[in-house]
Amino acid sequence: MKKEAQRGKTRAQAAAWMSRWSPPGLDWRIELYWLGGGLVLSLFYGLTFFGAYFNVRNELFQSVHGRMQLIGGAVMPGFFIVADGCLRGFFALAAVMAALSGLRYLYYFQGSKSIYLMRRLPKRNELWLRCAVLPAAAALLSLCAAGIFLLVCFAVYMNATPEACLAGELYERLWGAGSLQ
Amino acid sequence: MLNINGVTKSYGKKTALQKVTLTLSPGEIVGLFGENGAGKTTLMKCMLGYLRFRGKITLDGELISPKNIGRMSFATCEHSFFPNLNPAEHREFYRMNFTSFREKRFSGLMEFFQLPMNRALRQFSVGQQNQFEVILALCQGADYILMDEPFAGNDVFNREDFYKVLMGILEPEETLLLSTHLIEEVQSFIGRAVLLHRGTVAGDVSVEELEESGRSLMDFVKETYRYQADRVGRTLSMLTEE
Repeated sequence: MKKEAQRGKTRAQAAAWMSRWSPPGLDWRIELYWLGGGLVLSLFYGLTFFGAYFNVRNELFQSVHGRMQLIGGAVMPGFFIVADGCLRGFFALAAVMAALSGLRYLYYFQGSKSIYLMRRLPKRNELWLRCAVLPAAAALLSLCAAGIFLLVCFAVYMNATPEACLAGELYERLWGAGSLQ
Repeated sequence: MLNINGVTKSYGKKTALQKVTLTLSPGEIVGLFGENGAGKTTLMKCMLGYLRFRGKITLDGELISPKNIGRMSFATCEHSFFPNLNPAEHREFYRMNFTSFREKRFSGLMEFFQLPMNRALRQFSVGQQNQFEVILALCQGADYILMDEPFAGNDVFNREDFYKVLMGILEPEETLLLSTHLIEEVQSFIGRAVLLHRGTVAGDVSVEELEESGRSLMDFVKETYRYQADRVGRTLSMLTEE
């Protein structure tokens, strides 16, 4: 019961904070859904990394009498070569979120000219902060998600690639062209 | 004191205001009149810093800036409230942003006009929206209240009520600049009339002076604009002859 009340209080505080940094009356929940949906879609798009990775990884092997064996001297292409483009979704989401600040500005012209009120507030930056803080935070969140996703992919790359096929130098592991027979 | 000194504003090649000079003293109730396109709205927007202009506008000797902008409020027929918020939420917003927000006046006016406190403004009638717009301007706690045709769309009884309330609640140091076409309606409560014509001040007279000279505000306006009273008759007779 106490936990439930605490959770309700936290939720109310979060809602108040979101409202504080949004144009008055704007339903920020819709933007939150967009962000959530965008992150899920970006993640799905990012999963194409694993398809690309396992395709390349399979090429390190050859079938000998029905058994898969590593090809001698085969080197895995660098991580970023394999991961090329898998973060596009996150980057696009970050760009959309940044553009959202423009839509938030236009909100002040919808149904009235509340821009007149916003522009004569004694707090000089109130208008811009309400337009830009949350979209900037969402864009940052999207980039952070991209970073975390990239680290997970890199961990998979490092652990699932046979040791013998990893390039020696770190630079080569990241950017090397590799050599597949 | 609000000083407007040589304000010129152009939109491309069109000059909207031409070297307008005007002073508003504390406690004055000033009517701002002029034909459509005379520059009334442009002047108010310049005063509030919404438009760039040449010239100088000062409030007690200081340029208008975020430091003193809170001393000016604005009610416009375009409306400057947030349509998705209700009056109670507006009150919160104003409290947060204007330290001298007049709480008691707000409650009193909301009650007088019987406006619902918890319904979003977009669900109000246009008349109610106008009322609320004016209420906000009066309750912000500003010394200089600018109103740009605030009663457009309100019926005559509604406007009458508002004039009475306005006369009753304005404090001696509050200054009101009211732009309107309803010359005859406001002449009983304004103290001074400023006439704009094609972007210039065509007339500036106190109601006292008018009374002394035995003229009404409408007479003054017609004189200033060189209104030709017989032009309707001339046109009609010309058309009839045809």
